[in-house]
Amino acid sequence: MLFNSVEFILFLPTVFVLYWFAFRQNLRQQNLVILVSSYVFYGWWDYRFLSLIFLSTLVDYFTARKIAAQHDPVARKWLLGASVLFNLGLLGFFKYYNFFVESWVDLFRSVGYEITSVWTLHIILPVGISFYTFQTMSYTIDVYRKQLEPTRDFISFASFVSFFPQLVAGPIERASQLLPQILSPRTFRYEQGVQGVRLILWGMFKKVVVADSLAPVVEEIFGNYQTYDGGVLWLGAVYFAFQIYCDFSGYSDIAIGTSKLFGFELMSNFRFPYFSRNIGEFWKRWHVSLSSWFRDYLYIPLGGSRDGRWKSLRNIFVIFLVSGFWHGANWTFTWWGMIHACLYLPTFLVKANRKYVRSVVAENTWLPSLQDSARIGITFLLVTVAWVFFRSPDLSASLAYVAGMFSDLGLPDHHRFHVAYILALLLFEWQFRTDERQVLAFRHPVLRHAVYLILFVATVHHFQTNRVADFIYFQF
Amino acid sequence: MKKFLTRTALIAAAILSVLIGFELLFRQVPNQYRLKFDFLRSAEAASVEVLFFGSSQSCYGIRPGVFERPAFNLANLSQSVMLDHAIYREFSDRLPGLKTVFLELSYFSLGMDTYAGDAGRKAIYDHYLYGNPFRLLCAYPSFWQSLQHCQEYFIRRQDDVSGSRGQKISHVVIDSSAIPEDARSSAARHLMSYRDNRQVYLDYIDELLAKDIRVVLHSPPSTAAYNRLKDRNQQDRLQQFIGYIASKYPETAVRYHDFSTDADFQRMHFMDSNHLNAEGAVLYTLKLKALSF
Repeated sequence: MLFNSVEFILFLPTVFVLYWFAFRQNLRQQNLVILVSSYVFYGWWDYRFLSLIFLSTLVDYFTARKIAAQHDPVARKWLLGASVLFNLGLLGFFKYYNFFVESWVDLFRSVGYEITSVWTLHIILPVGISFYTFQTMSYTIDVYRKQLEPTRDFISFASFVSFFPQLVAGPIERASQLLPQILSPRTFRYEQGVQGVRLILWGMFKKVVVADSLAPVVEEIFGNYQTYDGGVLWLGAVYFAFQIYCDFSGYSDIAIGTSKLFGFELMSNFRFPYFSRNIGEFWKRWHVSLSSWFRDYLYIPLGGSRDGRWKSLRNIFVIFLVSGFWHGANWTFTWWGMIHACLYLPTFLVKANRKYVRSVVAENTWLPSLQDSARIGITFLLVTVAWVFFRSPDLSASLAYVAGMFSDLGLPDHHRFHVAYILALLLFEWQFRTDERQVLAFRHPVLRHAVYLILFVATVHHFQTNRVADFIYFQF
Repeated sequence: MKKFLTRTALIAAAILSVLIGFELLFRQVPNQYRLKFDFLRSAEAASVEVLFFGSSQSCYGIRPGVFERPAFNLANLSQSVMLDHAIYREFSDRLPGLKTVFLELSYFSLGMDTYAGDAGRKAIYDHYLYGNPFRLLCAYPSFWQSLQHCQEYFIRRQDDVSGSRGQKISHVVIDSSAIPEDARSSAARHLMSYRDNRQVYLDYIDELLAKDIRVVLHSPPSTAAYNRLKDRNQQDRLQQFIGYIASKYPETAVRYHDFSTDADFQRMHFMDSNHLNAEGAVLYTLKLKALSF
């Protein structure tokens, strides 16, 4: 089920009423409502793949309990290895099997052996598999590290794995963060509910109005990049930067907002990444749940930045390459990861990668300083050029597109209208840059309600006129 | 919880009132779709002998008034053959006098999806064709344009129903220097990922012939700039299908003529790279008339 669909508009209030009115007295029943709703939500897309989620839930539920009960470190390690292998095996088969087969065939072909690929299969990529496998893996790893006690409550654990607001596109929640919330009684709080509705409205606006309006223009420019001059190609890359941002962060906002309506707090996934002053800060603000997952479960176990400069550099490249590869079975994503590793490297070497972790741009002023403006501009341009590799079908198309961006440069003479969407978005986001949870929380009631009205009408209008589009991150 | 539900309901009610207000306003403004479906529901439909179906190329390019017999243009922007067929099926009982149907078979017709083109325009069929009262008309063709239509209709007393008997006339004629760019973007837009509409055409033609209605298939004219950019494979598929039609049906029942490269149509007859203007529409309709049964 898509958030931007009529089905979800009916589904959400139904679950809300059942959850808060029919079963509010009993935590177990409330969790069962979450579990059943989550399976309905996912099964709406393809009920056959519910078996995969169920299987993943079963494996990690029992493995974690076995690990906790086991005192022999070797046996614990084997059990963890089996769980990780199972989850990565699922992911590898459904997401990467054909890619590896085709890459081998290409490799043989490049050295003169012409073989026909007979092993490729017609595999449907289950929506959200990259998200829920990572979520369940974090649970088992945390239990292995003795940072978390395994739960005996299967319903609660299954609700944690399949929690519908974030099931198919994150944020990738940690068991240590979400599971205790599922296991404890929830009460409805007015402020949390209001924040939830605001985030849903803002997320819908970003997805339906901005991302879906930019999508056809991006498709047109990237599809016919050979015929456009540099100005338009820059515009196309900028449009894609905002399309993917609004698409994905819109989904996260709706997920976080929906969770709030049920009394849950999910982690922030986006913290206005295009206001970042260097690449290090960008990665602290973009897809936070994934980058922090890789930091905690890959980068730090590899040694992080503790074992000397060369190992640190190796670890940085590994984490960016894996992060790129996580996005999809295409070399373009790996190139995108590699480019970001190269862009991150200078900030790491001059120890500026954590410089802006705790601060927000123009924290006590209305406008950023000239220096900060320049830093934001340069960071955005670098990120935008990297997005070209992410969006293009293959490396040669990416390189040709980037070459086109720097030739015949001038002001774009086509597709300029959509800049208005981006300016409106930036104006709003700048206003709330200090706290991504407080969007639309204008103090003045008239202004606040006028904004609600404008965003709602614009969303309904675009919902009708734009084709209902999947969220981009569903494919990852 | 009570406070949350009350305030949410109040705000939602206020917003919905504004939306309903807009909706009621938009429904007052005449438009091409309402004009055509109103005609089909009127008593006049019973006397109509010639109908034209198709996309914008027919909608702009055919002037039914040129025919001496009662004729009406039911083509519309991005209207696929599936929608043509659906309209005919819905209203066939109200068209007892129908003798000839002109079906557009353009470069893109075999690949055009029902939902190709602007989704807002497609949504409107749900309202006018199938009578869904909840379909919002701000989708026609967009909210802001709908507001503009309101302004034009209520203040300047102009409306979108510009032609006669279903023909649409564009008052926007692009400059000659812009033709190559328009041709490029149109040809790119009209390059269809292959979707087999052949069976829909065949079913539709069979249904018409079973009711003793003759069929004329035609490919409307377009500029050389546009024709040059046509995809070879897409063209070949069209030619194969035309060959199949010619072998399947006798010429006394189904005729076809390709006007896409007709040299009689000059720059002065087009409003852009692939749509005729009012003058071109008269010339084209005269040519179609000669083909009619």
